[in-house]
Amino acid sequence: MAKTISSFSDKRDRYRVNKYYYIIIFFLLLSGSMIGQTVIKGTVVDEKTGEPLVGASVALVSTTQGSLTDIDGSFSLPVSGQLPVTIKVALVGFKSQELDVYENNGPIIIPLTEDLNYLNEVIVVGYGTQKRKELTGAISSVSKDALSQLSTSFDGLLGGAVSGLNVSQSSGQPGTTSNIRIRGGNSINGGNEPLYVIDGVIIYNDNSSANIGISRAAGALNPLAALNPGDIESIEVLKDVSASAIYGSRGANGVIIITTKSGKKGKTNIEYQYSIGWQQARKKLDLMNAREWGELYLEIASAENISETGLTAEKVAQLGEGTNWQDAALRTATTQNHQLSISGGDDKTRFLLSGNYSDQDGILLNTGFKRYSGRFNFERDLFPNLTVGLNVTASKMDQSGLSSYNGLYVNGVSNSLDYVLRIPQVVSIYNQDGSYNYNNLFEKGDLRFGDRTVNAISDLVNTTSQTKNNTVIGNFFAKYTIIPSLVAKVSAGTNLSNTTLNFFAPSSAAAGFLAKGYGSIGNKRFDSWQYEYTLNYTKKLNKDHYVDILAGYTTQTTDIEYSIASASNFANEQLSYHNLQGGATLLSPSSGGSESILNSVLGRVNYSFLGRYNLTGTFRADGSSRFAKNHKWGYFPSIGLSWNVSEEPFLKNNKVINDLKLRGSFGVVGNQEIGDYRYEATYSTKVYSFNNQLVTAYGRANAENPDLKWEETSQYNLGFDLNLLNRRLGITADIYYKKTSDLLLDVPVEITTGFSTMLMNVGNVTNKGVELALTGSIIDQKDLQWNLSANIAKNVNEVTNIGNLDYFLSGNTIIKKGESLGSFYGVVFDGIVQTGTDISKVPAPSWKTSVEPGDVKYVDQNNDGKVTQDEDRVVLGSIQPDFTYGFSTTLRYKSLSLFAAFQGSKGNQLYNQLRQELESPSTSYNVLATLRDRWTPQNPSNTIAKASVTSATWLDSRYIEDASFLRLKNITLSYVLPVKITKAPQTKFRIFATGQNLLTFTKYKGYDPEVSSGIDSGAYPTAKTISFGVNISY
Amino acid sequence: MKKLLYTLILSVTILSCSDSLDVTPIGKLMGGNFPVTDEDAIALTNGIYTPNVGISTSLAYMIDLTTETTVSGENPNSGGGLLGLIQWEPTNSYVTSVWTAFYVGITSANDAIDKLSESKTVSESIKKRSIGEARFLRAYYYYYAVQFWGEVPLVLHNVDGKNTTRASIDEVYAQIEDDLKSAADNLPDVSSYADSDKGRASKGAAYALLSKVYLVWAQTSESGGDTVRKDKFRKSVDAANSVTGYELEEDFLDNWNVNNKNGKESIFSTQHASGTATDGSGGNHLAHCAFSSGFSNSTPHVLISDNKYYDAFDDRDQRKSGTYAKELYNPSTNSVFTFTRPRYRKYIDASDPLGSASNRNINRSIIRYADILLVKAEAINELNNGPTTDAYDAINQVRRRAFEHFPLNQTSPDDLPAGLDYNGFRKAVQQERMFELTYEQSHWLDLVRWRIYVKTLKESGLDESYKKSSVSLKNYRFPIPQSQRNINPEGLWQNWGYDGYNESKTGANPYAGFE
Repeated sequence: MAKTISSFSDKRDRYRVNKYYYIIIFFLLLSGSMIGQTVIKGTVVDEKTGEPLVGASVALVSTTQGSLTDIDGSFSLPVSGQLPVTIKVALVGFKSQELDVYENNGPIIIPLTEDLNYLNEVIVVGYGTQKRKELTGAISSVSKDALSQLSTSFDGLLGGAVSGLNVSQSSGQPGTTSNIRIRGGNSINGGNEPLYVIDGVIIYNDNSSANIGISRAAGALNPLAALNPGDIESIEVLKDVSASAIYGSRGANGVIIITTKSGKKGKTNIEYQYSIGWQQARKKLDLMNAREWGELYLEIASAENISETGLTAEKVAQLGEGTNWQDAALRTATTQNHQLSISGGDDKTRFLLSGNYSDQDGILLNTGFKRYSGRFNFERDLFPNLTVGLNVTASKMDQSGLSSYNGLYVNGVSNSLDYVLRIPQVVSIYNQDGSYNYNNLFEKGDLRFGDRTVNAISDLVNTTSQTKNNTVIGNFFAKYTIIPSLVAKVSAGTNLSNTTLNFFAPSSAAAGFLAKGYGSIGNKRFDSWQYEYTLNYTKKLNKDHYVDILAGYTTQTTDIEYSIASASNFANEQLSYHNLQGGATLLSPSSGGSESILNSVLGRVNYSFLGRYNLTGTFRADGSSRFAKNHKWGYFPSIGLSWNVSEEPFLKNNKVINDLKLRGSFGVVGNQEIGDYRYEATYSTKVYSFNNQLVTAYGRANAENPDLKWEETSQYNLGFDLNLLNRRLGITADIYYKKTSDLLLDVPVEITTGFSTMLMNVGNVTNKGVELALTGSIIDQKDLQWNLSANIAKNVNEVTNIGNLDYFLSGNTIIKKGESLGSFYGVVFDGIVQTGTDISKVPAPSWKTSVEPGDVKYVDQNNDGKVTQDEDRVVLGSIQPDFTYGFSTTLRYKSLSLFAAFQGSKGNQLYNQLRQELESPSTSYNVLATLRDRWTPQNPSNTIAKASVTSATWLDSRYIEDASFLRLKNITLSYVLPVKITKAPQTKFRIFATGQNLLTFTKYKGYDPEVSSGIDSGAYPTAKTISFGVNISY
Repeated sequence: MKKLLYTLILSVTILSCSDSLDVTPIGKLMGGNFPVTDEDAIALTNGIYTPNVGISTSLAYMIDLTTETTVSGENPNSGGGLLGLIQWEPTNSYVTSVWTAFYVGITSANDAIDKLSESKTVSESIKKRSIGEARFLRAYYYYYAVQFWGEVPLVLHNVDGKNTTRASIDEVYAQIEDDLKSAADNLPDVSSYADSDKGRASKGAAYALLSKVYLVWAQTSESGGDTVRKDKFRKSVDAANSVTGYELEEDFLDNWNVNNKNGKESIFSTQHASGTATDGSGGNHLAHCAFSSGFSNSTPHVLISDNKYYDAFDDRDQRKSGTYAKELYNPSTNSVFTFTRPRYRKYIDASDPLGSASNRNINRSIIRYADILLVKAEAINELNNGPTTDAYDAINQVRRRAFEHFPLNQTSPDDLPAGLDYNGFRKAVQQERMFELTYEQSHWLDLVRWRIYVKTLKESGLDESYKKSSVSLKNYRFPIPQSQRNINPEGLWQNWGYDGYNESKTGANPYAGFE
């Protein structure tokens, strides 16, 4: 090819199709003047890549004369008659072009623009790409608009973006994990997270790779936060089995394919973006002030309590607001992001280099997240038929989180944030001299030692709970075109993650309080290597038949090693966790590891007939080290069919229906996320002592199960894709049924086996649902465009079988036939006993012989006159939403554009444990302001019981709250500045303002309705953020 | 060109030579290759002791808190609170966790016994000792289980752990007897243990437990009539007589002195050492529960129900200040704090009283020589329908130590009055056990085997809010945990009086004649 892309713009001007010329042509044709014969020669290329296009038809308009381009994309078209002539160039998948040729002086280059209409869009699928037209599976792509928004981690871009993909943050802690479910959860004990494929590197992300297991550190770093969202080109969500079965044993939870940006042939492109933002707590809890709490205290405190704290009625009367500990712990936090990318390429090489620095302070003191990441994507054609490439990202992350009170006896205070909320506002943070007040007269339990207590603000500020992680995700590949239709590819990929957790609590902080300073360091090395060998045969056999056959072998090994060292009783605390040997008590170190191997053979056949009827058949055989000897191999077939109805003669060129495709698929996928060695009888180390000397002990750790095998999910999917009205309106709908059988379930067994549960293949879970996605281009003019897209999904989850058991309990939830996973199990609140009620008729809870006015009433389900945990609990709701939805809109007017994205969830419940605890009157801890309305003979409240130190620890229906919400996740206004630099005319300046989580509509009473675990026991509050930024591209 | 590709494929293939899916677990020992050496055998045996570490609180809650002497300072509707209020149900968390700990212990013992018996590599001497320890510990766990629940599943090989049925009380006791006899034959005397092995089950411990087992077996099983019962009382006395090499500490509190672990009076105790666990997650929790509120009058987790149990002690009895801390020196304020209600003293380390609530490295006393002397006195009285000189001698040794009359073999003015009849002596033993063994996880077991549990609580005259008088006959046993019955409702039928019981299994009134 003689000409490079840089010359296209000139040529295009010369051959521009113009109404004026049509008129000329028209007159010329009328005149009928045809003199002589010339041959127009040229090449048809892809406008985007510059690659020659084979098989394009080049024809003279209004005649039958024409020719096809050959393998080099070149054509020669004899013209009988005089120039100028109009020729039409057409190729499936590209926009047809008509152009006028005025002179014939040498070969011309005709660039074709890819026709990005729905059906011709190229979609990334497992181990390759496919045109949407040929797809048989349910695959959704995250829109470019959504992908270009600001977010620290890519999961922040997914919420509400795709139907059937439910994203919920685990907390507002920067850098933390999200729970992601594609079409509901299939498994009870196996993992439910989707599989990620990042530039071909396969990652199962259950966050364990960066989780050290130091119980005092509450943070949870998301290993995939290593990925800079700014590097992402596309995200595809593989939802049904036709799409995901190529991932076999790991496809059951769906697959998310992330492809990063790559360089393109042509000018080197440089882009820099900076943004700065300010975050604040989205909401604060309304707690009692000093005086209100003092009054409550006097109502419930015994004479001994009062004499010990000296809080008398006279003193209470003088109290005011007191100290607001919550305000002291929360702050306005800044977040900054720098991002630079350089990309480009020439004839043989494409590259992209990018760097990112992200620094997000947390809204709670001493918390935050930092990321430094770099990416290098490189591809080079060594020979015309051999291409090698490398995609690699390297990141360093640093997360500072809360400290957990796990293991302390502190009336259920769960972490350092929770403790901030619990301190009565009567207590001041600082002494007169400005030092921390370490004498909270109301504290007891493990947070008091003699006259010394823990100060929640000091605890927050002085405890180090820091996770540092280095991650490399990279993939090297070589692609060899043996013959044009047969391509061999080898690739070697890796995911390396090294995590260190540094924890230190000085003796003033909760975790180090009784231990006289407590330090812990944990390290974890996670290594995963994968090798893939594939052969891909793509051939248009003739104009009716097209085949695309893929066969491959892959192997992936994962090695994990970890170690933890801890010490306590520090004489000097200055050196913090850097000097564990300074602890007088060295605590038993621990280390361990695990290894797993997955070997697979895979194959896929795509066959397309007449461009209308498509078939995809996939098969994968997976051999996993995680299963017992005779069950290592699992086989996962699937078949998908689709019919492009709109290509049929009766619909072709229909004015209303542009595209219509029907899809159907069936297949089996699996799940192996149970951890390693679960089929094997193992022993774990314990410590015992004789006569003050520690000895090693071994205890049985896992019951042997030689029958352990794959969990299997059979899936059926039916769907259609429809484009109407000049493709201004697009509709995609799917209906599916998934049945998971041989569940990998920790089944309760008689403890007389030595184990309370055993991992077995027992039971079934089904998910069935419908999904609908709409895209609309409401206004599509040169200067004004308005797009809308919306999606909604309903999933019904049901446990249909759990073996011989009727049900079993798992914490506050019940797993029961006929109910969905995550069903809360508790008693039903029935109001407050009022004065004058016939007490003998009110069923008493089991710890009381009779109730009194002001006490809580519960529903006596079995009408036996008393309320017990055993007999009167019912299902109170579940974490499963009735439906999830999202919508987004983009409005562009000239250089100004506005983007907004909403995410919503309806009908899901959450156990607000924090509220239950903060509504439990106590002589030690503060409570929510809702207790102002507590029952008294004068205030016959029917929702809040009378004040008493006896509080219900039962889960009752009051605390199962509707966590439905609708949230404005993101709103961004951006403007391209009308400046031109003469020396670099392509330079573009864009400025933007973004708001995240600015609006949330919810009835949920806690900090935030997005708590993925289903139990809110003091999760890090969610922030709302306003950011400003600038983007310069050259 | 092709060469290059092949080289590439080859090199990558070599990198990925992980064809075998049979991975040997790293960081974990597998059943197939463990135990091999003597050290393995010892470590495996040590593992049978560990389930006992975490249940000190649970045992105190089920045995002390459920009686008239002790009340709970916890939330009344928590597992512990409900035990204190005699309001426990089959879902009670402590009932469940203790059942769990016992059977984890029992199955660990089964595993060790079966594995070591088959082993060809472990030396005979270690085999003998380790299997002896395992059988002792199995008996120890069953000894509690049979008293808490009555008929319990008798699992001796772990393959039998599923679909169990409750074995009769006599079968369970017979197995305990068999295990303890074997343990007594095979275990060394405590004196022949190296210092680093002190605290392991010993011959003396096996006989001591055996003497307790025969006594309670005779008192709780009617089968075989009087002859068989007498025979068990005789065996109890014999076993107690075989407990040799122990003597009473002069200072009562030396039994809980961290510098006197496994002292001369100690026969068997849970071993605790600082550093075995991080603060809060292990250690001897008894200390924490009785002193969790430190030097304040706020209620700790467990507390004496009424000062009358403190006042009942003679002021000269060293057990008064050894059992209860009415006043305690607070080193951080350099002053003596006086409690409105005394605290349990045994598990407070006076050298670090505040640390007692967190450090908790005092061994939990399970059987000490004073207990065996009282068992012997009681068994003789039962055997002969009245006390003998031996019976008097046994109980008086305990009293002489209490009133500090040394040497203990000489009569003292605080000896029990001579000439007591069967009932008088029985009462005296019952009273003495209370003085001697308060907060030592004995009282509920004692009241139940004496069949005076309901009566004692009903007549305690305590504040109504403690609900001790709500006790009823069903409380003579604990319920089978609901979680277990959900899995195996037929085999694990429920005890009489609890939700889901069936009279065809329990009988119409199994506790007829109990007070």
